Amino acid sequence: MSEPTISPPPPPPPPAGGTESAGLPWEERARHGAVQGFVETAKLFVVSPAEAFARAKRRGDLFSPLAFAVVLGWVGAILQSLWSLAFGSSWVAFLPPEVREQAGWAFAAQGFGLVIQIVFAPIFVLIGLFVVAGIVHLMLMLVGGTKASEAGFEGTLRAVSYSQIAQIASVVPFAGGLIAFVWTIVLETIGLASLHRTSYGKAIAAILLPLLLCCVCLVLAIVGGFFAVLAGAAASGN
Amino acid sequence: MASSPSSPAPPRPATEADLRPLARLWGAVALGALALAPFAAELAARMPACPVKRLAGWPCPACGSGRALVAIAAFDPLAALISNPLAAVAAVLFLIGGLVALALSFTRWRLPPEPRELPLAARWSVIAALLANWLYLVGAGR
Repeated sequence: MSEPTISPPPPPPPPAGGTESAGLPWEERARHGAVQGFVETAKLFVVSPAEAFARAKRRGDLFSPLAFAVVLGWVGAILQSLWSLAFGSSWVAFLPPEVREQAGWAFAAQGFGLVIQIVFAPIFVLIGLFVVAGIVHLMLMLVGGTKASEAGFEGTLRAVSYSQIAQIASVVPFAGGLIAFVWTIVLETIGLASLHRTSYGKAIAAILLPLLLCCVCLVLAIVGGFFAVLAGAAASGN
Repeated sequence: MASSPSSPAPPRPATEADLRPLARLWGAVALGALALAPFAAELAARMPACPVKRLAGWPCPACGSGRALVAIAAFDPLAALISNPLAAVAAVLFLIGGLVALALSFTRWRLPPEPRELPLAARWSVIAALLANWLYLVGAGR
């Protein structure tokens, strides 16, 4: 008769080496620390956005993405205003007089904007995130990109929020805003495709549809203007 | 046809626990927007002009939104509707929806489920509303 054996304790869970098991450091900041978690998450979204969005939570903990976005959006807004204040007045002097007047008005507005942005930026960023996410989500539903989604509107809000990492491009003077704009579109596309389990085509369509609508208006207006000029020329020729 | 083992599982519908934080966030954002209402005219005056309108002379679908929001902040719904009907309606729905969602999130009532898809009729309604709004803006010379 064999002696009763004591069953060994269950083996420890395997280390989280895969990308699916480990969450974003910012979402696990209790373990990583807030600053470390923020920096690690920012690095991950810059270096490997697809992996970062794959690791992001699908539901719950709305505070993490929103706080991430508010901090970055705030910093980006302040940087852009500082660049405008620092370099704006110097290169405006090289512009033609008629353009200089308009540019001067714009920079005066930027100067005022600096104060406004510092004070109200968190509220602006939060409202902006919600409105942009609302429009993008509506467009995503319009193109049928949410059929397989578990994340719902929360997923879109998460994608838009984490895409604010592109605001660090505001460090670049002059072109920073444009770089951030394009980078945001790329990140939002990756984020929507990952979080909603949809195709890149539908994701980019949802983001670009509102912009395309404006471009279509612009093209229609230019074509309309062209024909108006032609009609005017024909009328004056008769 | 049976689904293959590798096909993704059907999406899990959002639960009350998922929706309540979202409803509270919507309410908080709506309250934030209301808190900015006294500064609406000042803020709108600092907004840059629409580049599409400046370049082409025609309004873009969002032209007049700033004026519509200022009018809503001044409790002038007619002026808001004249400036940009769709933006005015969307802004009011956003504010009322946010406040209702916030109130509901603190009650024991169930929150309405989040739609996963838009029915075909709703899709066409959105497109028609966008087009009709833009045609109105062009016609009215906003």
